[in-house]
Amino acid sequence: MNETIEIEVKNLSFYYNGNIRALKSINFVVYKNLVTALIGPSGCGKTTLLRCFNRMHDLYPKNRYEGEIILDGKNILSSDIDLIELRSKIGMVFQKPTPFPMTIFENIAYGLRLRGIKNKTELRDRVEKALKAAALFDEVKDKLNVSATELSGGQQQRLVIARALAVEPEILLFDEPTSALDPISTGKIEELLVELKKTVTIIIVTHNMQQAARISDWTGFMMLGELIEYDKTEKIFTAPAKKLTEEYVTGRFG
Amino acid sequence: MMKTLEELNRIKSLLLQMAASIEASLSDAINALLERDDTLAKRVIVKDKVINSFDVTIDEECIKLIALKQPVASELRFIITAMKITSDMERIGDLCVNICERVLELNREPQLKPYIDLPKMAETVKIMLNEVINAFVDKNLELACEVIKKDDDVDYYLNQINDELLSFMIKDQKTIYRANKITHIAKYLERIADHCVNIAENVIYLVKGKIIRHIEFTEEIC
Amino acid sequence: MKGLGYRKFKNHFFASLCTVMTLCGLFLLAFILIDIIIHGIKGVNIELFLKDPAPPGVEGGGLRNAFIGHLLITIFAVLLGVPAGILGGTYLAEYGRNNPIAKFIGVFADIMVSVPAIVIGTFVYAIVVKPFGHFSGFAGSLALAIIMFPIVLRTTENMLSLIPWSLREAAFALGAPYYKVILQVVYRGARAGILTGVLLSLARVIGEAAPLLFTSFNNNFFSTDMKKPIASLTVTIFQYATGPYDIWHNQAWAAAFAITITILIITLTARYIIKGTHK
Repeated sequence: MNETIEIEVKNLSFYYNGNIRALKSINFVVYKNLVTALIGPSGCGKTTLLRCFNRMHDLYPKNRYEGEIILDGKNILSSDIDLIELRSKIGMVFQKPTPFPMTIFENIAYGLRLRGIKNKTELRDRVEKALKAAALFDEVKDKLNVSATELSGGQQQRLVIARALAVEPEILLFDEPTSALDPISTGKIEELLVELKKTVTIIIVTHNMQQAARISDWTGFMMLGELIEYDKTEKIFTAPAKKLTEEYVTGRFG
Repeated sequence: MMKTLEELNRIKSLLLQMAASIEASLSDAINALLERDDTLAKRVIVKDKVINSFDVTIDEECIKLIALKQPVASELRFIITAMKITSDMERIGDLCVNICERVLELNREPQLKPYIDLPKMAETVKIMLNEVINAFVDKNLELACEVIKKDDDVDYYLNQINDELLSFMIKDQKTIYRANKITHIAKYLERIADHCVNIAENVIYLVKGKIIRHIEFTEEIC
Repeated sequence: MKGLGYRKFKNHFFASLCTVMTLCGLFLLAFILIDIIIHGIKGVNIELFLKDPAPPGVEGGGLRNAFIGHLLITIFAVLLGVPAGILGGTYLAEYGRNNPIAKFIGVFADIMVSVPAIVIGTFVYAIVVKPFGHFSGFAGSLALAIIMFPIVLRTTENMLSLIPWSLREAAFALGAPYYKVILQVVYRGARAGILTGVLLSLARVIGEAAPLLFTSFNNNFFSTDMKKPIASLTVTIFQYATGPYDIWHNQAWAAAFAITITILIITLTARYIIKGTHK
């Protein structure tokens, strides 16, 4: 497997509310067009780490980053980064499906309109492309003008994925995307993620170890804000190097 | 659950390649014996490394699949069966090497006697191996049962050969060295047949989901 | 055995007491409504809306000036009070989330809601009417706006707070700046609730007379000049109901009927809108 580096995380630390340390000197590398999973017990910091990539923490004033995250040669944690441009490159899908209170079409087009795209044909084409990439187009192609809130949970989550894909990001972040869904919808989304990695680099946080085992190529195990082990998924689940990792994946805690 | 078809097919393909390898090894070993061919015997001994590496690769793939994809039901039985079959196949490969080592030793002496029962025994074992591999590929219960039955023939041949060679050795002490080697070869062939029976039992497990390692159960199914 | 019977009796007694009290309250409400309808219907005719008042004691005439005046006062009250209330509620719900000052403003608004309308009228009299030296429609609008403002503020704040934070995060993650998140996503989700709040505050002030007494006062003639005293339905009702003439009494009943019907329609519309958003 020819692995090219997409993102480099160097000595990343993160502080909530000024001085509560949530991440401790994290170092690892995310590879292009692969699925990287972050696992660990509750409160280990995996969601905190995920949110550093698209700087969601900036919404709250007393948060502080230390260290670097290098993407395309630039440190995305520096203050002169345009957040809107960053969030075009790095999209995010959350745990609870969050369709906007608008039609399906308007939902997908939202990100495009934010970037000034007004041409109706272009919007229609890109919305269709995004819906197809999210494996949702066939189910909704006749009801694009229906309110998005009328879709089922699994469909809503795929809608949200389509919405994130519409702006053609390089990287997609997933924060426990299937924990609010039933097993069938979960299976569909997992298949979708494996398909999507051909065009997008994926980082996924999941508390479901088996999900990480099924779909990811690289896995990072975190605990108490530290990255304990980061390796190829098959290694983590067959012969982990660290004892803590072994104890976690065999279910001894967490 | 994640579709694991691709990975399962890969393991199956590796198994079939390994099976083809040992079939060739057995065939070559028998020919090396019957035609007193040193080159062929040496080739079999060298090729065993390839068979061993298959064993390792298939085991690694199976373990990876279990860890990552949590297979259940028939998929799980297939993987477990695959791991057990490679173990038996690897031993068959080793036994072919053993046969060839004895052949190399025998070829330095003149042939003791025209081989009559030995080729028949070897042919039976060859057929058993071929049939059991087909039984695995096609999940053919009847064929597996056939293989298990043929083991009786192999045991019969073994006894015949042992008796005949014993009488040779009693009559003429100078034949002991060669007779002893041939006895070993017959024993190796019989062990290969036993491994084929093991593989057949694993095929029955794969198809029926029941572990049968005692003759009583086999008779129930076959 | 004795215990069970006693408990059953207590149960029935309490249930019956609740029912009886409800019926009493409903009866009184129905009595008022029916009274207004009976007396008011008599006075409603097309002249009521098209003609100005006749000289005192003279038959005929209508309340055109009061209808138009009340409409103007209400429109300006809405223009003053509603945007301020919505923006204020937005501030409390969005920007002032963890700010203690925001919490204080919220409590203050709650207090404002309970201030008697006549006190607000007096307040506006002191700061607008007296310095300018005369009553005006604008002063009346201001008084009504001050009453509407805290209601709209609190409702808007509550409705916006009901929108889950995750929805805003999703919009941020797409690259939207905060103001766009509020305008395009949050408002859209809360618009039914906010509209309902506006309608309810409107229903509240349409029927007010006290705040208009010292601010817009009254005007027996037709006028659309908001800088001067202007007629309103509620003050007119006050004037006519306490006056000596029968024609005045009839017209007062008709005006009361018109206001009641309007408030009823507004309230029902508000409830209908809110029901429509429940899934």
